Amino acid sequence: MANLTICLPTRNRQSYCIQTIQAIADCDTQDFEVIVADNSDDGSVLRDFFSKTFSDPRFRLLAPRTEVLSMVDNWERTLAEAKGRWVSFIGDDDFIDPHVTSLIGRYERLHSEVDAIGWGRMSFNWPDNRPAPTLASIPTTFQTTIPVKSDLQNRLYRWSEGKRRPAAGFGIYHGAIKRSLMERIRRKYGGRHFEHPIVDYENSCKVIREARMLVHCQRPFSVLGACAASNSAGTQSQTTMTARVATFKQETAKGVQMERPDFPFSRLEKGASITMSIASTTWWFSKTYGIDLTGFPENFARAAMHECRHLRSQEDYDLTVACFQAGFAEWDGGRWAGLFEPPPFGGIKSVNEISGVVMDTIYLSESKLKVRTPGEFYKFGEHAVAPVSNVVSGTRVFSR
Amino acid sequence: MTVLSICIPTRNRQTFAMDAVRHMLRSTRQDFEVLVADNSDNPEPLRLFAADVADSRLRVLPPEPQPLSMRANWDRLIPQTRGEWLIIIGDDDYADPEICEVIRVATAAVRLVDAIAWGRSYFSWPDARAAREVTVIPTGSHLVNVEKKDMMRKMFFWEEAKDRPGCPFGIYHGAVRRELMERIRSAFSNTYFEHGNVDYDNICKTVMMADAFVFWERPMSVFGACRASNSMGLRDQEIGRQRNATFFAENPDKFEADNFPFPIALGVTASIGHTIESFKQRYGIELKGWEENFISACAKDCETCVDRAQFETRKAGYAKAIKAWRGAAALSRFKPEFKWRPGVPKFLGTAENLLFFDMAMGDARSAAEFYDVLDAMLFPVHLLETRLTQPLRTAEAA
Repeated sequence: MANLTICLPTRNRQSYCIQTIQAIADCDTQDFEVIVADNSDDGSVLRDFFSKTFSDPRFRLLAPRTEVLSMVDNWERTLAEAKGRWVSFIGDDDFIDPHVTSLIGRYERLHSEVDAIGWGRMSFNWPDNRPAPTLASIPTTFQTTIPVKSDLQNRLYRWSEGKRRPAAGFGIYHGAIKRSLMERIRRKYGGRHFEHPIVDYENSCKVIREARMLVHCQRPFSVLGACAASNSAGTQSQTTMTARVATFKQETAKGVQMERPDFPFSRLEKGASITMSIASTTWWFSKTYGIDLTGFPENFARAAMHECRHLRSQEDYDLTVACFQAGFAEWDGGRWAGLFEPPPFGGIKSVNEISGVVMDTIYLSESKLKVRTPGEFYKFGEHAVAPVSNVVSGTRVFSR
Repeated sequence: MTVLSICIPTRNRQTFAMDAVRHMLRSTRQDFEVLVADNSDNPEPLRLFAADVADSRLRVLPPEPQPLSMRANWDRLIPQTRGEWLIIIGDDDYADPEICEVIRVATAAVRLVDAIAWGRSYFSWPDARAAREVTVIPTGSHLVNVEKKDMMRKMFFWEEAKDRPGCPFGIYHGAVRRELMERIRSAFSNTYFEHGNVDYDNICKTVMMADAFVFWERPMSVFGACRASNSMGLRDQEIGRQRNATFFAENPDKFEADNFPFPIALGVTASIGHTIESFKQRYGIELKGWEENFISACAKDCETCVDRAQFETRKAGYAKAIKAWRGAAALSRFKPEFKWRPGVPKFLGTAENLLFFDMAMGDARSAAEFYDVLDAMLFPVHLLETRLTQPLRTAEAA
């Protein structure tokens, strides 16, 4: 039985998916399997690739169903096919190093209870997703930490850090979850592994509530990629974000709805931001499963203002601020509206221009990079991080 | 107006020089020039290259009928430059024309500045690299006003020296005002460079003569080492012997200082020691209190050895010289330890404002390509001005 199942759901981005498959297949380790769950309108591209070009017993292709699945349903059917003791999901424009299986093995030997493993992630925008200056990132530390669950829950459910993205750190997306934990989650949460359309954050919510032991390695083992067709491309432009939100809602019309009358931010499209989408997810989970949300409104207001400080143009700023204002005005009868006081737009800023090393992470100006894909970027970045062999052997002494 | 002249003296390593020039001329800046002083046996490659490039920012000084010493080849460069500021690099090195921007910001902040330096970065060309090689770069981006007296202490008193003095100011991988070079010429024997160890000869003079120093922590150039370079001699004893023999055959000027019994072949510390001592002796500069720091640097030079036998040989050589120089008592300061631990993995990542990484990152094939990798992950030069949250202290105030 494979130790790790890497799930690769994809929809209509076959060329990225193929490059991701090839990058993962380059790895010589055998202790993993990859399930490619094709949800594309045209199933022939990946079918032909698997039958004519590519041959690797570690990879399996699930053909598209007769009708397009929502993302959450595509994830659900993928997990049902997983045979590995551990499971990880990545996007079709991402990368994961299968050597992460040796990290999983180390943590299992050290901590028999571990059922959720997180790691550092590099980030990389594909060359077609750089309408403005963009930065790739490489975390360079490699320590292991075992966080306190209540701290994680405070950060994710109640947004205690007040930043535009709550730091989850654990989840099946760019993390590894023991399959037995996913089965526990399925039994406890509506008979499904995944419910909410924002699958990554809803899974993080469940994992940090249900896991017996979570272990995190700072060393990166995967790359969060973003191509022009990705949802994360919405972070580069408000116009793209609006279009992505509309498409996303259309494709997730069935099942759990993002729109909730008690959290009106999720109904808005113009000026929508990823901050709102994540908040709507953690809010849904907390409300549905009875999580205490004391402090969330205040923290979310801080996060909203943090998001506004990162906007690049006056137009984006105006749209996003208006969107937040409308949401706060409607939310809970306007009770929290006074907390949202965004600073004025700070002018055209050098957002994503400041490459360099900050807090042990290297930020790279992507326009100056020669690498073209997340897989290539990972190999590039590995030159500045501790080798996997040192990390999994617990090496403590290095020479300089 | 030409702000900066990037000077590249070269001898029989034309392809390396061409690679650097080609990359520099990609810049859209028009305020710099590249001046190549060709001292090769065959003038054709660089002549044809310049004709092919046909860029007014590039000029090549053809070889003289007889090969020049390195000192003479450097010396003939300076009168030919048009820039207000000058830098010299080796033909297997690289320097970013964006140094012009650093000059602009530094001169705006410190009116009298005439010597600018930046963080160091090192690259071994693939032909000179054995296996995995880890290099280190500073990750800071502050612009710092450096006090002259601190540089005097570092250079002439070897304060905080490793195997060499930690003073980065000089024309080699640093920018100096042309006017400073003229003052140096006037003050010191009517020539720009006197000693065969041209880079350190110039650092001595820059430290003595410059009015104000500004240092940017971010690397703007790359010290390259190709297989044919003199720096390769620091890594391999046999290559070192060959390089020394060639160097002294081509550079007949007196290299050794008087009453300084350190054979030059011992290592880089001995060689730099001779350069500084020669300068002091020639110009009657007498200093006391630097000897102990120098002896510590000799020990550190031994500790750079990655081969036990080489370490022992170097250690014995330095010990003999120190004893002959200052007596057996002086050896109490000389305690080198063989520190090479091949079984211990090299550190990769960030620590103490440094980034340690495998030199193969980005698969750079040349010093210029290596600089491209650095440039992607270091603070952007065009935002340097934003680092000046408060005015730098001026030299007058200091």
